[in-house]
Amino acid sequence: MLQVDRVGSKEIYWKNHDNPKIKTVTSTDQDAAIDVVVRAFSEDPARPLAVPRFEAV
Amino acid sequence: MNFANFVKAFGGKASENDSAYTTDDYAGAALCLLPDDHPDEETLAGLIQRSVPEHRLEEVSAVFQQMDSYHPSEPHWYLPLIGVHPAQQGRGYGSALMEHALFRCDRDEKLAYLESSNLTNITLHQRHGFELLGTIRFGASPPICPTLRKPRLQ
Repeated sequence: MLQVDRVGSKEIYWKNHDNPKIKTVTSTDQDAAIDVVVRAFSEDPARPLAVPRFEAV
Repeated sequence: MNFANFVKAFGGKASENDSAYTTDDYAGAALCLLPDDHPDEETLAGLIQRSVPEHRLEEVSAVFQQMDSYHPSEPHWYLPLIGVHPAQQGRGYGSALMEHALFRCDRDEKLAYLESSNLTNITLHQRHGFELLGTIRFGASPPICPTLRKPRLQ
């Protein structure tokens, strides 16, 4: 079982939820993994530097 | 530009080499490049050329050159893209993904390197043992902080 932070809101959150399970990406879920990274970095301050006009897909 | 193409060019090699990880509900993912892997620089250059206005190309190029200069010369894991869906942030997903990747770095006794492009994540990175190497900033670009982590003996 992976450890997560046990402070603040995370401690409260994980009392009611299982710790996140991590798996290795395969060819079948590669697109889903790429998609979440795209969503995550859509709001990154450095993203407009290389990609000024954001189109997720 | 389709941002997914940029992400694929930067970290797509990870999924070919079992160094891409995701939470089982796809709330977050980490694309990590092994010591012998590199971003697809030719594709990246083409994408940037087409995406960035001409008057800003020099600035973007300078930022990427500085990023290159901070990479350690020793073999290292490069963790360029660890992200959690905006609606799921603050719940420990990023930390769990990073811990999973760093377990392999430690097992292989390899350095881990990443650039923090979001200053709010620096504390997280430092908590996992990354040390700040400097700050990359050129023109109007936002600060990007290269960080390095030595392997921990298991």
